[in-house]
Amino acid sequence: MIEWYQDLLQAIDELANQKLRTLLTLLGMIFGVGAVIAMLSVGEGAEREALQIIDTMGLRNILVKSKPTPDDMLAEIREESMGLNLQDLEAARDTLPFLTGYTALKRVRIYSQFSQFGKSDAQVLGVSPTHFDMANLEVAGGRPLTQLDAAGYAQNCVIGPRTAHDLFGNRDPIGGMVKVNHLWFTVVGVLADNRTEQTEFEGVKLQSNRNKIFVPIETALKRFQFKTMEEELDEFHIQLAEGVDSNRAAQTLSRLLTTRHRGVDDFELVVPEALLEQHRKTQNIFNIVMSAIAGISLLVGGIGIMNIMLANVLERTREIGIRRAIGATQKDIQRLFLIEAFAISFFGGLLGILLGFLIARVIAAYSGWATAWSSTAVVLSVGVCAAIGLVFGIYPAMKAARLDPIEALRHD
Amino acid sequence: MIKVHDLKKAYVMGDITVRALDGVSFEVAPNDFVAIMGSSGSGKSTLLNLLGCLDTPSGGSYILRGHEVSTMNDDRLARIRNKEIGFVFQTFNLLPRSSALDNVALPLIYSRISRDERNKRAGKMLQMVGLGDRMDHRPSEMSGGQRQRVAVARALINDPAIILADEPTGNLDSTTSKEIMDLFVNLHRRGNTVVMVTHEEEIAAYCHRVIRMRDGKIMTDERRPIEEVSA
Repeated sequence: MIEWYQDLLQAIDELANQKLRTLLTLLGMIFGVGAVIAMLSVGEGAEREALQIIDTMGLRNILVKSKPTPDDMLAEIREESMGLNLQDLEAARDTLPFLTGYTALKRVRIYSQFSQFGKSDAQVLGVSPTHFDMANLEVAGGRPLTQLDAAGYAQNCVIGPRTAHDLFGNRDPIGGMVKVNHLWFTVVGVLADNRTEQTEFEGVKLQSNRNKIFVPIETALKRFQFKTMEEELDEFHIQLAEGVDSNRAAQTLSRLLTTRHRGVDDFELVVPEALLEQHRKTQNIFNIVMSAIAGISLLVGGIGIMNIMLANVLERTREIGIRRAIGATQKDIQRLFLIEAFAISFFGGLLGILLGFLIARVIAAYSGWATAWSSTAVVLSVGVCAAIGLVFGIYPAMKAARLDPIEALRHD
Repeated sequence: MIKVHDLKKAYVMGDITVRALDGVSFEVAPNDFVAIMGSSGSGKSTLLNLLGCLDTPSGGSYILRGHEVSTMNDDRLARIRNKEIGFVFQTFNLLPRSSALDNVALPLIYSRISRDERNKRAGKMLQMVGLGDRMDHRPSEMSGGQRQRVAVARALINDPAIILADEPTGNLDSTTSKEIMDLFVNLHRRGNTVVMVTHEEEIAAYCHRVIRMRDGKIMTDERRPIEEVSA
């Protein structure tokens, strides 16, 4: 151990003596590792964001959305299919045994909404009380909508954080009144702010909950006006029991609805679990490509180390001869140079980690992509660096060790 | 101390085999002070490399302090070089970026001796060669004579059986040469065994035994009484 420590001190001395050369060699490692760390941070960030998005859809849920029907064909289509409706939901509930929860959604057409203090352009959604649980919506203040609100056609609402700000400024919105079209609603809850700003995920449009007004769907369907022949529901979501294959459940549900809609293609299914899988596949491709690039940079860094170590061995040939003459074994010489290579790659790796996080920060700031610190990435990079130092350092070190002492002593 | 019998070294250069050393036999007793002389190509450097365990012979035997050296592997040779042999070179061969103290202490690193002990012993040795006030100087900050003193201190640090010097004054002016030779004479008086390669008669005159070589063979091996040695 003492020898390793001694050699490390000597190596650091030697590297400090050759500042420019050391710096240039370090740069190779720094950029290589920086690329790896930045790549993994972006990947990790994307993964976490995906999970967050999926969380708002509910990983165990299947979303059924109505497709818009062209107005000129509406009358024709309605002879076959009524569009998405509550009976569909009931049928699903009654026939699918693996269904543990459901929520129905209806968008309300708005011409005005305001409070005593301000105006809002929030979207108004009629939802089942179960919606809050199923979509993992957290209430920051007040309470979510309940079965009591639903049963009593209550004119209560839960609003998004931005809506709360638009309508009430910095005042406490709980208990405040909002007029939506012709009806007054009492605010009973405000949603927590979820940070996802993405508007699309794997081709599915996402809507932020920041600017929304949630009212009981019963109230919405009964009290607001809808167009003639408009479908009753815009969406409904069902929750699957644990262990149920969501793709197969979606197929069953799709068959049921297709039959009920007499083959009219006026709805679509979104399976968050499948989306996540799809996302992971794309992410995997991204990761593989980036890993390859990062791997090449590390390789280049490693070759740089080998190059510099070979030059180093050549330059210090005489020193090697001297050391051999006064009693250094081949192993002693090999260790001396190996440790130097190891030191370069190790310190390069450490600096590279810093650079990587810096790059990740910059990417996050300019592109809006989420990035996240990943401890795996750090451990991986340091390990890979150490390995590179050893792998690319071993050849020059062996070359140094095998020099003939007499030849080495004669070297100028 | 040293017993060399029928020592041979041949190099193959293309089609020609060069017999650099062609059956050399002699003994070196403890406290001998030997000069090996000869023109270039006489085999004196080859002999010195073999005596210094930097090279292995093609034939014959070399016994150093009772150990047969000619058949040792590389690691054991390194150990012999470290413990039993002190080298002094014509070109000093110090590490340019290390201080005098570190240069002198270097062999002790390969004897696995702790840093404190190394520095203590190297300091003493530098004082002995008269450079107690130059310990932190680098070779480039010292004169040729001072550098060679550092090299001598390094050769002595592990208390070797024999000191091998290869033209130790070859790069020095006559005044400094005399200083260095006085140092060797001193070492000899203190009981060290010295074998020196030189082509200068004035330098050989310090030694009490002169071996002359030609074409890989020993031509003459003369002893002089110590009293006659000029000093």
